[in-house]
Amino acid sequence: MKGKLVIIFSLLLIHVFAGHVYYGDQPILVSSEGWLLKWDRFVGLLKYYFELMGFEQPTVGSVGDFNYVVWNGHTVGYDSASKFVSLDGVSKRSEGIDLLEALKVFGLPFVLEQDRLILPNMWIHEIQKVQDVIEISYSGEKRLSALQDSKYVYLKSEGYVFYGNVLHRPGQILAQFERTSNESIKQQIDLKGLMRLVMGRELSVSRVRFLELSENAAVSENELTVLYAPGDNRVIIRPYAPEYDGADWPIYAEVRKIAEKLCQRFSLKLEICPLIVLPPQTMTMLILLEDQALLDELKGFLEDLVR
Amino acid sequence: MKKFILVLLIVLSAHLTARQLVLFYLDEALQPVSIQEKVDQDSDLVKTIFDRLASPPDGLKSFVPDDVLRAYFFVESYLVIDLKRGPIAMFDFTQERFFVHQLLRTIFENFSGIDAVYFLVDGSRRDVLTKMVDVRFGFARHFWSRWPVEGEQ
Repeated sequence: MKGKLVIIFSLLLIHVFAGHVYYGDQPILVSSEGWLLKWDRFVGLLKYYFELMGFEQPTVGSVGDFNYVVWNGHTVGYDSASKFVSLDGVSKRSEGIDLLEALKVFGLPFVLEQDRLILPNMWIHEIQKVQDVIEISYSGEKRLSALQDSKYVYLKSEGYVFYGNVLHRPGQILAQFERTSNESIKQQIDLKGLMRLVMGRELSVSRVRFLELSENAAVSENELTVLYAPGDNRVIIRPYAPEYDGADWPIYAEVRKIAEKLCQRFSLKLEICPLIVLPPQTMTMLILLEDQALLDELKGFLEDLVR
Repeated sequence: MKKFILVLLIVLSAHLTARQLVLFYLDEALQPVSIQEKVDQDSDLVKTIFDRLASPPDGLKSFVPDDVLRAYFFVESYLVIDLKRGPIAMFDFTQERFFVHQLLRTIFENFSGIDAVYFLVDGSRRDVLTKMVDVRFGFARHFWSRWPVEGEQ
């Protein structure tokens, strides 16, 4: 009976004073020695975490009694005979590796919650918005959701997400993008290490604007923008792009329908070509005309068409 | 007789190991003209396409200049073409568009497994090929598996 009690108390004590290392919400290490780890446990933890995150594995080696691990240009070493730990060349006596110090040396973020040390389970390298596509490249697991209200599109952490030198807890907003009018999330595409949000606009053009072709021609929403220049009687429209995964089909179909009617009426050719002056997902076209005097007639026809 | 059979066998084996390429050139009115040519099965098809397009038959035009291909690679069902900036730097608006049309029409005709083509210039992603054609996104098979200009006379 006494033996059993001793075991139970011992286990209880180990549990109370143990350190728990989490990968997001999953425990990956229970350490009875708190945050002072034995060398092999420290290296094992590091390698396992890097594997989970998809990071390059560290270089591990030894010279005599001195063991070392190198990652991302930083070195942590331990001399098992003299019990000296070396953190990027700074040595001090220690019975093991102080996990908190070692993580800081490697630049690995973590949060401490009571007896839990939590490492991020998603590491975002970059978030960028190119035209109507928001792209998030990351390592680890996808622990991010996208939501929108009337003004913004938000990226919300669904785990422990490291982005912009901050480790975000679940539920925190880590980025937001202003919604231009009528723009909303049309599609979410998930690839390994890449999340892509395709934004789309509702079609509601009722006006036509003619602009002379120039590199700075501003395209406004809710209008059909027609660029024009001298040329060999053709209308050029942008094709849809594989990246949009179908989200740009409705606008392409609408622009094409109008362009086809215009070509039919004025005997113009219809050419498909992605021009930089015709931004994706916009109601735009370029008309090349031999006889510029036709422009007023074209404009009247298009205005009737979209009215 | 023996010689005749030998020659016949050589011709037959050359025929069996050859691959048919369909190349698109343009006439004076910028209408596409397709020409079929045989190439060796082992030849580098992408490079061969560029080389042949750069040397149009008499009476036809091409917008593909000499020595414009820097590198290329296949990524799953995509073909990434890396171009040298020098030979295309002086393209005017028509040359820039028809270079893309002619090249893509030929590529999609000859590589049935490719869904999209991407362009790099001097090894980097660019916004435009030279001035006007947007190369930030892929060029989908759907549009260049036929000539992308409709309503030609």
